[in-house]
Amino acid sequence: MNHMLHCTLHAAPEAPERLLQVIRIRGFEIHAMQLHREGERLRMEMRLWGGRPVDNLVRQLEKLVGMESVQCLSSLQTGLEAAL
Amino acid sequence: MNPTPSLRPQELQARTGAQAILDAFFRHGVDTLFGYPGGCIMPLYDALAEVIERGAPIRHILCRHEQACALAANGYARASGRLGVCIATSGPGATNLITGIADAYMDSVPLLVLTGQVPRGLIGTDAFQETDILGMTLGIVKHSYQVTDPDRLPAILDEAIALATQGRPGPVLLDLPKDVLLAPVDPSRAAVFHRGNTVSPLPLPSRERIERARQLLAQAERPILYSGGGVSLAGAEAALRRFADSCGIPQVVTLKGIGNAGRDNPLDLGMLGMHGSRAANRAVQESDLLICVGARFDDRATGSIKSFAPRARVIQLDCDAAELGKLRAVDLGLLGDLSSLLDALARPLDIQPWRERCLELKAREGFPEPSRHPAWGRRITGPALLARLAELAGPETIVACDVGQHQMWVAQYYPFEHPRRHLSSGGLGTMGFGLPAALGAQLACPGRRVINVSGDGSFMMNLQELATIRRYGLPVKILILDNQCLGMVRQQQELFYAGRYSEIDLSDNPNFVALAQVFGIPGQRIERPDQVDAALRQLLESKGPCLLHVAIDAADNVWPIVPPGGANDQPLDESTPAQTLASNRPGAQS
Repeated sequence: MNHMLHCTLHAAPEAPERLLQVIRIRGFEIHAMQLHREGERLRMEMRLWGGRPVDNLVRQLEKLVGMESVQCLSSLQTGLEAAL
Repeated sequence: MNPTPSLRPQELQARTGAQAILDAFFRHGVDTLFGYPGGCIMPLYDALAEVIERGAPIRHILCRHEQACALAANGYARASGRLGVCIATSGPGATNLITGIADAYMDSVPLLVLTGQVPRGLIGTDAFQETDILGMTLGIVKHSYQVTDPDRLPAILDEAIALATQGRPGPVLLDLPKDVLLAPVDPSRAAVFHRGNTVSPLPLPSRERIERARQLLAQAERPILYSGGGVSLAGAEAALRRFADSCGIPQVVTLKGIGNAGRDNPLDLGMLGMHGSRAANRAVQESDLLICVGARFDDRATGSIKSFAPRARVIQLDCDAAELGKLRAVDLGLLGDLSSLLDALARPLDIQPWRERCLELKAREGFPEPSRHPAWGRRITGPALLARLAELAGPETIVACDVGQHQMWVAQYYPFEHPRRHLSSGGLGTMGFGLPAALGAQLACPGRRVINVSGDGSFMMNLQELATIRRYGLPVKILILDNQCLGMVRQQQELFYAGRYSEIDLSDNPNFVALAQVFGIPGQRIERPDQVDAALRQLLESKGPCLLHVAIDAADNVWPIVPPGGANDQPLDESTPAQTLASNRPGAQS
């Protein structure tokens, strides 16, 4: 299943590695990725593929120190679909 | 939560990076360091020597291997609930810490790890003793820093200590380039970076969610309290017992939750899971409501998750949102401080038939009395030895286990009054954990008796720490159950690999008594049941460190056992027919 993930995190040299490792360890693959630095923040947008519940991944990412926000579009859509 | 301590007057004068680290230790009341010096961390050791010469209230324990430094700091933290601190140099010093860091991560132990690093200008040049320890440990730390600006050191240390100890605890690593340790810290810049970073306590969930939980409790006919290591991490032992007493609810514990219920709670069915009692596993399988407190549905506890407690609704209480529903869907997740949550949920329950059912299960299918072992009276068995040790050692003793069969026999046969008296490597299962953890626990709790219960395989993995025990005069007791093989591996090869034994023979073990004596530690060996009482008494009553080497049979197994990946309601034991055992071929799970 594909997911679009948008993360904003405090910029640090190792911050992208930290995030990418969590994604791999928790069972997802990155199929596309963009990264921009904006001042003291990094914005990362990724298309992920994985069969595990993506909400679990989101909660693991939210625990990272310096993570400001994590949004998963597919889970938002899922929630919308559920509401409808 | 405690606010970050303010910088002290002397810290507002020029300091080096190394001195700033020691200042932070004093600010936070850190008084014990476990470490091993080397090239790039030498400026910190130089500053340490200076403050120790001046009589500062700090001590450094020189272990004989960096892995043991991390595990000793780990044992110190587990036994005391305080921050453990370990130090190593760059390169091999840092990589040797990794197992201890991973152990702390898996079991949520508050650990501050300081590693030396090559000077900033040499990073990335494959310099002597350069390793990317930050990169290597990203997946096994709560957080980590490579400090490149000395002026940020005071603030980073405060943040690191707060992160390691607050919320769900864990290891935090600081990688410290040598020139950062030597550089002056500009006090005015340091004061700017230094800011309060208190972590606010989690609020109670909404009144509606609490009420929903109370309704689920009231509706349940067969509820079970299932608690784990998170209870003692949260300091919620008293609240858990208040809750259990108020509800009169039967309970089971994970390996790390042993002691949560106290030593003599009739409704405590003991450990569940792979080597749990049939009573605990059966009660969970029959339950209609699981109240999971500070536990994480680990595969060793649940067996096949699909068949775990199939008819139960689940209320999960945790301080970590990522644990709620991670492995088992929950009917209600409650995020917050465990004590507050448990107090909010406590209520009497009308479940007398269920209590009676659990008491019956416990009487019929609890761990069997050691005297029922067929070899009772003819040779020493692990269960009989450890049950007797528990009787003689008393409830105040701390036991630091290694990993293997002896670890499971401790979990089954040694009742604990408090979870911080049972130190066991649960998540990582680190052979070699016990001896350094015991010495760390002894330093944290000098007034308590500390026993390392080990196996012949585990003991050999960190036996150099006998020298540390001797050097610091630590009265650690060491009990080695020696079956001359890797017993747990042997058992699984017997049961699940058709008896094809592969690389488990340790029959050429050294003479452990002679070995201990080389380190200046007295010891004795016993082989017969009639020697047990006198030998245990001698071990426990010895003033200093002492070793007892106990010969047990290589063929003894830990029963019951749920096959890896199997269902908890289908355990095997010594009564299982041979054809059933033969059908248990290795599955995909470990």
